[in-house]
Amino acid sequence: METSEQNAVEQQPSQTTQPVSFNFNGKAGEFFGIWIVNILLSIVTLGIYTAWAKVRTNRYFYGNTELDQHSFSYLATPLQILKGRIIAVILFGGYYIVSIISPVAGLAVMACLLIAMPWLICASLRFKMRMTSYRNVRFDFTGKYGEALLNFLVFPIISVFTLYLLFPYALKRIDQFIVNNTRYGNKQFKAELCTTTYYMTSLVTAVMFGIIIGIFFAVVGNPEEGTGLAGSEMQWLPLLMFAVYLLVLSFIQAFYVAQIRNHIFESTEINDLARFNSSYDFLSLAYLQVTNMLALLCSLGLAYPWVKVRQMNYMVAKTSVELVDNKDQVLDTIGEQSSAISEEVANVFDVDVGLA
Amino acid sequence: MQSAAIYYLAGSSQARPVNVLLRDNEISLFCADSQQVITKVMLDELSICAALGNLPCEIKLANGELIVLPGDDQLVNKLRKQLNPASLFLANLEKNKVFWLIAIILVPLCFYSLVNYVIPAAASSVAGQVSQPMKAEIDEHAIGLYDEVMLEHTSLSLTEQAVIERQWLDLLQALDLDVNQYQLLFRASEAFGANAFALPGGTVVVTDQLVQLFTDNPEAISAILLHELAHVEYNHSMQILAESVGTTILMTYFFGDLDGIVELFSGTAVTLVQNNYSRDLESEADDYAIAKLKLLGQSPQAFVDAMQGLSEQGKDYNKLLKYFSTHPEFQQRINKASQAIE
Repeated sequence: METSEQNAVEQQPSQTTQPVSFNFNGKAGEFFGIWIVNILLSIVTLGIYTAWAKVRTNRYFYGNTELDQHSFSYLATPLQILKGRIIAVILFGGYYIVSIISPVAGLAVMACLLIAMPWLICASLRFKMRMTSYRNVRFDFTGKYGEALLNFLVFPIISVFTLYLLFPYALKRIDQFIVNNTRYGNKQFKAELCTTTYYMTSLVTAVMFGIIIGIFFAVVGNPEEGTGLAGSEMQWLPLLMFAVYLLVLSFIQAFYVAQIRNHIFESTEINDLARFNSSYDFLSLAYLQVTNMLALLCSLGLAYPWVKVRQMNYMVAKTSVELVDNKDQVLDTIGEQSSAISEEVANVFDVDVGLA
Repeated sequence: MQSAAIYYLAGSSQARPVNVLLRDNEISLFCADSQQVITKVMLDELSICAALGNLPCEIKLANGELIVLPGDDQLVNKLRKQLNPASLFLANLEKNKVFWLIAIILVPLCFYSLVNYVIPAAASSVAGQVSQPMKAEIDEHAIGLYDEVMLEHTSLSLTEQAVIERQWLDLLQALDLDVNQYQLLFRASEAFGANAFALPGGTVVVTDQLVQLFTDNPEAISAILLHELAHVEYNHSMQILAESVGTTILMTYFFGDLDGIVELFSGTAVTLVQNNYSRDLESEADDYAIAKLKLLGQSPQAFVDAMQGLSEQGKDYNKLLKYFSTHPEFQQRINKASQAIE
C-alpha cells in the first residue's frame, strides 16, 4: 500500500485538476413513457422497432448525463443497429439449428465462436466507445485480438486448472485491459490496478458466500434426516431456495462490485485531463439492488424505468470527476465510422462485457 | 428572436456559447458576447436529432461541428416541424399519459398473442420447409449421439421385438403411412425409464422398460406408438426447434437490456413459454392417438391404460414443478381419453 501511495504522489499530473459537477437529469416518469412506447411498438412491429428503442433508450441516458455542464451523446443510428441485429439473428438462428441438426457441427461452430470471442469483445467495445461522445469528441477502444485472447480466454482457462487460485488475477487483467485500451479522443485512460485488492475482495466474497450458505442449510436442515422443515413445507423449498439464492447473490455481488469499482476509479486517470473517484459502499448498493428487485417483482416489471433512473442517480452520486482547466484541448482522432454488427452479434451470443 | 446555444468545433473538445437565429432557410450563429456572425448554414446542410423527452437538441453540421440548444427552445420546435415532424409525433406520444394507459393494457395483450399465435404459426411454416432427407439425416446424427451417451443395446429377445415390430407395421399400414420413412428401434436406458420418443425423420425409440411394463397389454403399446407417430406426422420436433429459436431471440431483445438477476427471470420465462409449447404439442399428439385408436376400431381405454401405467412410475410429482413440466399432467390426459370412450 505504501508504495502505491508514493507512486500516486510522484505521478501527480503536471496540471492540477478541479472537481467538476456530475449530474443525471433523467426522470422516472418521463422515461416510463419512452419505455412503454418502445415495448409496444417493438411487439407490434415483431421486433423491428427494437433498434429504434435501443437508440432512444441510450440517447435518453447518455444525453441526461451531464459532466461539467456538458452532456454525453449516443451517436448510433437505428438503421445501423437494425442492420447489425438482422445479421446477428441470422447467425444465431443458424448456429442454433446447426447445433440441433448435427451436434458435432454445432461443437465445431462453438469452437469457432470461442476463437472469435476475443475479437467480438474488442469490436463490440470499440463500437460502444465510438458511439459515445462528449464535447463533440468521441471515445474509442483500441484493444487488439492477441491481448484479448490472453485476458478473456487463456488466463480464465488456466485459472480453472489452478483451482481458481489465479482467477482474481485474471479478473484484474480483464479490467485493466478494458480501461487501458479506452481513449477519449487522443487521450488515453490509464489504470494501475492492484492484484492484492482483487485477491482480498475475492477472498471476502468467497467467505461471505460460504457463511450464508452454511446458515441457510442450518435453518432449512437436512431433508434426509427429517430435521428442519416438515414434509408439507418441503414443496415450497425450490421457491425458497430461489429467493435465498437471489438475495445472497445480490449481497455478494454488491460487495464485489463496490470494492472493485472504487478501486478501478481511484486508480484510473487520463494524463493531463482527468482523475476519477468512486464511493460505492456495500450496504447501500445491496439495499439498492434488493429493493429494485422487489419493486420489479411487485410491479410485474412496470417499475423498470424507475429502477433504471434510480441506478443512474446512485451511480452519478457516488462518482466524482476532476478535470484540468484547459479541457478543450482534446482532439477527436477517429476517422472512419464503425458498424454495429459485432456489437449485436456479441450481444445475442451473450459475450458482452463491461466493467464491474 | 435569438436562442442561446453551445457551439462545438469539429474534431476537438473546444466549445463556446453562441446565439442562434432562424431566418427563412438558414440559421445564423452569432458570438454570444460581440454579436459578430460566426457562420451561416442552410437548413438542408444540417441534421437535427429526433425529439426525445427533455433532452437538449443536437444539430449536426455537415463539417462535423455541433450546436446544442435546450430541448424546449422555440427555435428547436420550429426547426423540427420543418425538418423532422415524425419525431415530434413520437415524442408527443411518449409524453401522452392517456397513451401510457392504453399501452399498459395493449402490451400484455399483444405479447400474449405474439407468444401464443404469431410465434407458433411462424414456427410451423418454417418447420414445414425442412425436407424429409434432411430430417432423416437429423435422426441419424441424433440417434448416434443418444447411443453414445444415454442408450444401451436392448436386452429384449428377438421374439419380444418381433411382436412389437408386427404391431408397428400393422399400425403404419392401417394409417397408410410410408413404411420406408418410419423406423422402430429398441433400446435400454436407465435415464429414460419406461419411455418412448420420436425423432423428426420418423425414427421412434421405445425402451425395454416400456415394453416390459405393458407385456400384458399390447393395446397400450399401440396407443403410445400412435402418440409418437403423431409427433412425426405433425412435424413437432421441427416446430419446437423453430419455436425455441423464436422465443430465445424474442427474450434477448425484449428483456436483454435488463441486467444481472432480472435476466434470470427472463431465462425462467423462456423455459415456461417453451414448456407451454411442448405441452400443447403433447396434447395434440394425444388427440391424434385417441382419434386413430377409434378409427382402427380399438378403444381409447388403451390410452388410459398406457397413461395409468406410466403415471405409476413417477408418483412423487411436485405441484410447483407442474409449470416446468413438458407434458400435461397424467390425470388430464387420462380424463381426456376417458371422455373419448363414451
